[in-house]
Amino acid sequence: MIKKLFGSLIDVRKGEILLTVLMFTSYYLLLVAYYFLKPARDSLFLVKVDPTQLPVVFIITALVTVPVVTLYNKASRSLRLNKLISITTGILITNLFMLRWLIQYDEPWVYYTFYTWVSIYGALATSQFWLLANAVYNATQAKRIFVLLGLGGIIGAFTGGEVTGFIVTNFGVSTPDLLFICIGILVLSIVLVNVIWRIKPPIEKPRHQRQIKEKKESLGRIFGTIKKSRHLMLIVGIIAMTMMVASFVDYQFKVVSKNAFPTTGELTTFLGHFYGRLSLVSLFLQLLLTYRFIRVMGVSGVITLLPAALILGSISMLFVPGLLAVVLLRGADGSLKYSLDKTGRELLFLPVPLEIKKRTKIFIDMFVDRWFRGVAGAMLLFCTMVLELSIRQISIVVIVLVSVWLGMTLLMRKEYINAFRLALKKRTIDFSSLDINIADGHAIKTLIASLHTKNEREIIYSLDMLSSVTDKRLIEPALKLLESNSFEVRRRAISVLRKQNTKEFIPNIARHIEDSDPVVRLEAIATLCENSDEDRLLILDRYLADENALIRSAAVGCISRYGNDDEKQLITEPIIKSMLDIDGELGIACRVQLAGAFGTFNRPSLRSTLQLLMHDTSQSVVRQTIISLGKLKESEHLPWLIEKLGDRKYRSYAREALVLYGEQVYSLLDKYIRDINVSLIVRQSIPRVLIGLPNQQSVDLLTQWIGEELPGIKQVVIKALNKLRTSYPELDFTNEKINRALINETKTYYEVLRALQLHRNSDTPSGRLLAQALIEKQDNNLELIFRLLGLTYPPQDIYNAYLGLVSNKNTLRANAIEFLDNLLQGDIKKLLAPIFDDSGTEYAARQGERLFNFTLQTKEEALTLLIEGSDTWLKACAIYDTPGIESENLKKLVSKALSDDCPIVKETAELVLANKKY
Amino acid sequence: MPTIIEKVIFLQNVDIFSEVPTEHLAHLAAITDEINFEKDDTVYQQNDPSDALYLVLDGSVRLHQDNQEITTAGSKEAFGTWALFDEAPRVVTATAIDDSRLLRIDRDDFIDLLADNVKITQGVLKAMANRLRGLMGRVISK
Repeated sequence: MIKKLFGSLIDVRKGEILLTVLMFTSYYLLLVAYYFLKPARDSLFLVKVDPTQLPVVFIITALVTVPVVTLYNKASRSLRLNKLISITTGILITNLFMLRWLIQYDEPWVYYTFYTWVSIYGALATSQFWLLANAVYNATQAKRIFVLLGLGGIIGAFTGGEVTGFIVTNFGVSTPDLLFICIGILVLSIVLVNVIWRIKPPIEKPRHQRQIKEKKESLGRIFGTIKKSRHLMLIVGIIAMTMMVASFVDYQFKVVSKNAFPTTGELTTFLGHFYGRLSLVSLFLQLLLTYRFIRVMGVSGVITLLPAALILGSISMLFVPGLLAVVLLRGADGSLKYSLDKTGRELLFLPVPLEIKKRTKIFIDMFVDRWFRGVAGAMLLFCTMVLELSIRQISIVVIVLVSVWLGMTLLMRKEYINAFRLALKKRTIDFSSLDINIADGHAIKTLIASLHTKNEREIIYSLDMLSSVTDKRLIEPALKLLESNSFEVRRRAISVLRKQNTKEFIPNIARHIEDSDPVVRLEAIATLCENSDEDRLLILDRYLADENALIRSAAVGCISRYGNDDEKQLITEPIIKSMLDIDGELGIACRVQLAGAFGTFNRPSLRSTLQLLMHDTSQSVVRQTIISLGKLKESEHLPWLIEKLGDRKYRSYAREALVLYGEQVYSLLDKYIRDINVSLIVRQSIPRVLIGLPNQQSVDLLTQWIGEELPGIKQVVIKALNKLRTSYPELDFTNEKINRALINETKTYYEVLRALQLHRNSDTPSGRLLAQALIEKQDNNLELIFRLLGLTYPPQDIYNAYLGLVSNKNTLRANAIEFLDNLLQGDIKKLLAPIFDDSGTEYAARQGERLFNFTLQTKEEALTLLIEGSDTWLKACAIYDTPGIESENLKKLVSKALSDDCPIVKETAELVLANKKY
Repeated sequence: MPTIIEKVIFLQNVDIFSEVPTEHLAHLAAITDEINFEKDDTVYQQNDPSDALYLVLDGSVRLHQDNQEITTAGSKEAFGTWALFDEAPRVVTATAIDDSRLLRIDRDDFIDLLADNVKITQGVLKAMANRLRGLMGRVISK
């Protein structure tokens, strides 16, 4: 059991070890420091000020923490994370020096300040560590590694608490001098953060996650959203009561502790031990009991545990007040609140649609939590100052509050199941957004129930959600679903069965090794291997020798997906040859499996087979081979893969394969994009490959291509940069080449605008075509200008301004102009201002001529500019429009165009000269 | 044989291509073929597979079911448009009234082009949306 527990806890893979060790150490140190400071804060305040002032400091803390955390979150959006953390930690270190210096003056306000400061430190240190963790790990890694990091924090808390007591008691270190140790720890943590930042790999986030845009919303709208949902209202109510009761219990605990340990040293030691051990109990509950309790009691049961324990604790405080009772009371609160109850509270959000969850959860975590701590402070002040209640009498208030809380948890039970059912029907639960596996009894029950519906999409959705759950109740419905007509359902059903202990159902699964779907066949073999007592090698060897080619190919697929090196050796050349010799549809199915297997083992003796698969007549086989080549990462296949970008049938597969190559692909892509003998489609597909490699090297290379104005690819390069900028704002896009491209694009805009003015009233077909082409070019220019602006300024703001500017609605246009006027700065603003100005195109064109020092007075001059320009379509249209104008110069330019590289330009020049209209 | 740029000018007049940028119409022009029909030649028969759109460069084409005339396509007009989107057989027969020069856009080539060129797809969808909006407007006004 221990092995199973720690096996799932320490699932750190090769390549993640160093990073995880550093992250673990970092969180450990932050919490050590916090648990040095926390007892010091409490004991200094309780001894030097007075426990009766605790409600006041609760209110001050609530009032100060909200703006500080809000400011911090704002800063986190504009500063690079490592800089943000270094700066914040630097400020915290300076604060600590100042506080240590101020403590010697023994003024009460210093202790108020220190108390509030430590609370803010707690909020910031945790928040910034998890921000860093989210930047360092992707979603899949997060699910595996975050539990381990959390463990680092708990061990840190325990160490901090225990060591505080130890050094104060045994080394005579004064409580204020603990601050110097914290300063040392914080300096070390800055170093660690910067090392972590340097070695962290670039993270690719799931596409759907990247595209969810952050919306700024007023508190009023968030309130409105919460008010509309009974479920959310109950969550807010429960969290509010949790925080208020916690403040009351904390007050009782601190007052009784102060009475029991009157000196600072004794109190610091006691509090250090208490907080440290509380973390240990919390860890024990989290690791050993949370999963089981949630499974047995469900979410609604788990969230009643804390109020139930507190009501019992408060009753004992009422009748037997004293240190033991209050330690148990505060212990129950501290240990359950951050283990079972916290997990339960997080799961309450499960049926809330993702968009609503994102908006409301931040609000609830940030504000409800802290506001109600402040409200509790005010209530405590009223109880102690006005009503003059004793510690014992305060227990009555706690009992009343906890009763309300319990009532809410009972209401939540029904509401949660209803909300869950509704969300399941609407398919609004986002399983990928969860950091925990579904273990909730109610959730599993509801999902299992939905497996019996006739709605295929609902079944598929539920099976996806249950894919990581191990639960006996799943076996029966999953076995039934294995008989479904839908291969999508069968694939998922067998995948769910693989996670269960299905020894007794082996015959049911064995039937599916002859399933019509290749994935079901493959998974059936994998399930049989995992659940059989027989040696895996023997089972696989038997299937590889099966006379049915489909079973042989499924065994090959199973080995390539799940097999180890020994198992891969079972795929011998005669087996491969036997699969290649099969004709028809069956042959294709076998070759697809074989092509997939090639990605997992590399044998020089199979080169010729690989060549056969690369040039197979079946698209499915070639596609699978392309992906396998990406996994093999052999440079000799790179040119072939790049050429495949030109073929629509294989383009997305080639892109995926090239991304798998990683950094070694850059130099060849750079060479291909510059080679004008390579087809334009291939060259235009290259920038999108770099979107799959989201790092600074990709940005730099794309920027270099913009700077060199490679023909025909400017637009796709800028689009690729836009995608990287939107999805990976941490990458650096500040570059002179982008600025230069923006200036060039603006100049072209003015030239086109002027040319358009000269041709707007043309009444010949050629003149109208040219005018239309100029209008389209101008629209395209404007889009590119905004795309380039989006690389320097906030992309969402720029996009909104663009939509406003091209809108037909005057208000939207005016708002966009006003916004751009405030946003843009320096030379760029000066150059772009006439485009945005409402003074008309005539004015804009004149300003453009002045700003870029060019003049276009006649149609002839405009046509000359266009024919000499780089836009081949405008060049062709301009040539087509020349016969109307008597000009030797134009005639010379048209004759020169006879040798143009672009076939349309050349053909149009031939046409114009053949018609002899000059 | 018209050049690409001349074909673009013709294609601009086809309703479903009216929203496609001219530069991208040049790509479309590149997949067209010019076909000549003599007077009374059949361009396609009713119930033939729908495999192409036609555009009249010169001459005129009668669209009919047996002897019942449905419409006539004259110079710069297109017929058989839906063949580009729908595999249903031809509902009418097309016969050249005079000696006629037509541009032909093959359905498979067109689909391939759409797959590679998002601007053409956007333009065609926009034109179809405009047409649908117009039809809805007429229904509502009635």
